[in-house]
Amino acid sequence: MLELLITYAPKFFDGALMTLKLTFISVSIAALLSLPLAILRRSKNSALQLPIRLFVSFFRGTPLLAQLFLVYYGSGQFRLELTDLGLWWFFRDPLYCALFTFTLNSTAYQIEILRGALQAVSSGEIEAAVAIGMTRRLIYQKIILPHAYRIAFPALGNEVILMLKGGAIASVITLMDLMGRTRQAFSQTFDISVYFWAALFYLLITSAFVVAWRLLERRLTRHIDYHGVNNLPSTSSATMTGLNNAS
Amino acid sequence: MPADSIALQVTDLHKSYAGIEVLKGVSLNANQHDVISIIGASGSGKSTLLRCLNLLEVPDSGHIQIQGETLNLYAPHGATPSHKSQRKIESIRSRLGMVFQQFNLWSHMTVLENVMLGPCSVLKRNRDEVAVYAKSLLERVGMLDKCHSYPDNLSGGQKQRVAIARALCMNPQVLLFDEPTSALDPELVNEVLQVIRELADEGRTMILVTHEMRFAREVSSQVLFLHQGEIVEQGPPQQLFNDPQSKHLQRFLASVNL
Repeated sequence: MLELLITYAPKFFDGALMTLKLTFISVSIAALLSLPLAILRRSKNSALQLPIRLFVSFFRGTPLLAQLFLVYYGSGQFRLELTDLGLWWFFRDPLYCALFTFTLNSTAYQIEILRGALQAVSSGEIEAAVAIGMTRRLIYQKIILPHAYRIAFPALGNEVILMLKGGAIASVITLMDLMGRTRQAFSQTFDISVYFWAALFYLLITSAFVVAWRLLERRLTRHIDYHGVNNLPSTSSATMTGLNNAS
Repeated sequence: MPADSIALQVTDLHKSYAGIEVLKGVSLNANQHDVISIIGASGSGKSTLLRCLNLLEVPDSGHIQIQGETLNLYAPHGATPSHKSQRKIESIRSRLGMVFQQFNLWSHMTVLENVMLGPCSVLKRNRDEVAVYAKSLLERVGMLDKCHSYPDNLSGGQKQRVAIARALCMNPQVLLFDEPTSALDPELVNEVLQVIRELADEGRTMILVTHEMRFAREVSSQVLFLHQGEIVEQGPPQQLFNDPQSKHLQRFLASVNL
């Protein structure tokens, strides 16, 4: 089992790099796109928010695999038209197709996450900023966005992890990410333990990410007093010790 | 009366919500160093009036004049102000300091950052100078030792004192207080009233909406009694509290404990 790991380790590393690349490029572009879209989504103008709602419900309501097939195989149906438009070089490449699909998918999820977070920002704090004479731009910059991103932070981290694992389906359209390398190794050895090692690789990546994200979160929420939260009654023995301390 | 002694002048302010008229033509004059208390039952339009002064609510019609600059309001419903008048509104707001019932401190910033943000970002003052001034204000309200704390770690009274320092740091022409002690525990009310009293003593122009009748009587130079969107009675506090003319004010004063 171990020698299998040693033989295929370089390939696993290659694949892991590809997985990281896929995830972080698409999640980052989605992060840039989702903020202005989430703000527009909250506009009262239905001509602005309706297309965004349709976009979001399509990408949240259909399987990622179907979306990937639609882009990769679907674009093949329009090869001539895409060539005329000068876009074929993009859609013929499975890497670009995967990045394109994952970006749109993650944008949809991040719009929803940010929309909720923007809504949750304290209206009193916004009002104080209005009352002091801040412009709309300043209010977003100094008050709304710092709060919204702090509120959205755990959900955004979750979205990155989902994308990281969901990205494994890119292997279906021939991409050699971690899952692609694993499938390749399995087809050469028929040794089921390659899947075990792959799972371990995924676990390592996500765990490292979770730790980093939590450190960042702690920094973002340093102004929040959690004492009240820790005193919540719980069903475990913690309640008993809490009671003992109190008495 | 010379024009330069008028700090804030409001003429014939109207405001309706969904067809119900909340302010029915209110006029108000605040001279420099005036302390005006607005009293009245809940729903009489006191808070709406105060929020109209710095345009947190946009009145349907009326004039607001602050230091010679006039804003004429005749906004059709739902119309957003043009870019130019938006600028003017922001400039008026920056000259009126607002203190809220719920404090509304920015919870992601320290006490000092809260006080400094307005002058630095809106008035574009020099950071170092603002920091010195902000600290002197925090010292005056007795909060200098907490200047690096976050609002979450303060009591209500402490938060309100910081909010007052935040408003003062903009060097406002007029300070507006919207029921500044109504959200406080009884034992914390006095520390906030004390700060407001000191500001009155040093000649700050202030308009306050309050339920603290005793306090209004002591510090005000003028009291307005608002009933169903109209100013029913106004005058020096002794006159209003000792010799109320209208039935409404008599009934109101009988219902609150003095």
